[in-house]
Amino acid sequence: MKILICESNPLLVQLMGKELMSEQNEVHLAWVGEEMASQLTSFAPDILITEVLLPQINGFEFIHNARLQFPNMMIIVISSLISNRLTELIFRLGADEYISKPFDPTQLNNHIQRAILRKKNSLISNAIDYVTKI
Amino acid sequence: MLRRYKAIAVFTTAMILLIAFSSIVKSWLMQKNWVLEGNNIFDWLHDLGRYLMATIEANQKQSTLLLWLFPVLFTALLLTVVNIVTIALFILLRRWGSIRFLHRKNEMRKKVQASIIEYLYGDSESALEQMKQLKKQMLIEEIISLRKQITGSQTENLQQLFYQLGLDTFVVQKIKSARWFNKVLYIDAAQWMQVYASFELIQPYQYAGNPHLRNVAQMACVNLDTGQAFAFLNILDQSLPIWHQILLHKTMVRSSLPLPDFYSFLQSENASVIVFALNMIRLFSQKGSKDEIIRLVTHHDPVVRRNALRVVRDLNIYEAIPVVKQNFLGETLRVQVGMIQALSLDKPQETFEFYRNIWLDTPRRLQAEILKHVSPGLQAMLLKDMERVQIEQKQN
Repeated sequence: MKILICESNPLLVQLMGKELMSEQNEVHLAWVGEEMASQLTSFAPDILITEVLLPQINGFEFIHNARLQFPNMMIIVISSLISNRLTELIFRLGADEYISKPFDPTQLNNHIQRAILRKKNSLISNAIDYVTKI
Repeated sequence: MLRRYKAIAVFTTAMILLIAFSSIVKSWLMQKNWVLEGNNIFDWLHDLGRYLMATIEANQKQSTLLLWLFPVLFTALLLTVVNIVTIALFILLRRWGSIRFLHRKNEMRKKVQASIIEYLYGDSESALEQMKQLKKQMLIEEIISLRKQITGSQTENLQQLFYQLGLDTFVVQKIKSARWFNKVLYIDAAQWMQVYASFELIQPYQYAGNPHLRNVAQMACVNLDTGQAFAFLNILDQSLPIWHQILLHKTMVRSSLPLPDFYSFLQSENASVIVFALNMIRLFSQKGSKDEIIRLVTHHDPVVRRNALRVVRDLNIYEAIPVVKQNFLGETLRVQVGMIQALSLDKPQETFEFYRNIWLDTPRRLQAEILKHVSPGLQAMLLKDMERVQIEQKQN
């Protein structure tokens, strides 16, 4: 799987990258604002893991644009924002999964697998609903 | 009087210096041959000055004052140009220096980050040896920035790295630093890495004048002390801001600290400490003396009263209802809103009767607040009653 990780803390990005690389994923890292947007377009990842509080760019806008650009991409947000309203907003903008900081990086793969499974299930149930309506 | 003499003395000295300076520069410009002759820059300036002076002398009708002051003005102009060039050079050099410093710092930071990753995922022995050569402050900054964002097994590895590098003793030494921002950095590090040896050193800073230092020291002591973690609240004279209260709460939750009896702080003379204790009682649903809470519903500080009412509501302290009703009309609007929310504990019929009795003595704004905050059932009852009263008033 192609994974892009966007986070302002370079050390944390590298740590997450190491965790995900061990599972035979192709991982790209970005911790500078401009780089994030350009990497997203050029790399076209299957999964985007991102913070909301990003340097130089607006994280909410970034998530929204990513969703518009790649409707089938999985977006996982890792953030220290604890406000319910903001979390709700993140999901409305197109995020599939939210992990609050501090988090266990060794569990990142499990989070991704769970999110993929949930997305698959929701797609299947949506398809069933659609067919039954017809 | 003294000030006036001083001003006169300064003015007279300035005038004497001006005249002296003017005559020196004039004599310099009048001489065709002079000491520093042969130096290109000075020769050029000398020639320029002489040319300008000759031009002014040729037009004597213009002003004798200008002629007299010309040497001074000319020198002042030169000095200004020299000053501007010097300042510009100084700024450029400083900027260049800071860019170079930042560049070096970034390079060093990259090395530190690579070494930490190597330690966690690669050859830890060689990474450790490499890190011993690097700057300790930067190592601490990076380790702490990562530690704050993660949990799980890697935090133990980070802590192990911290101790293997001997950063614990470094932190203890640096807490003694004279600069407050260094103290903040290293106290924070001691807190996150559980350096218990630093506890005695940090303790006095819990009452420091600097709010940043005070807050970080309070959090560190809460984290590092296994006994009387919140003892500082008994002595604290300064206000405990809401932000610090939030951080203390976060620290307690993060470290799963054993909760103290927050009811013991309700007697404090510091209103912010009482507010903190009330908030903690509410958030942790701590049970204790209800009388203490009821007493605070009539506290002289409205912020304390508002928080006490929140505790009444969230901990279902029914015994406070009569006190709330008794003091309702004399309260400020914000406290009254808290009271309306606390009165939701009471039976709907009794609350309805209470509002009905005070309705006519209540200002419009408060009536609106009552309707906004009561349950939908009670709201319908009150509106219906209002309609009835209005109809009766029209009929009369």
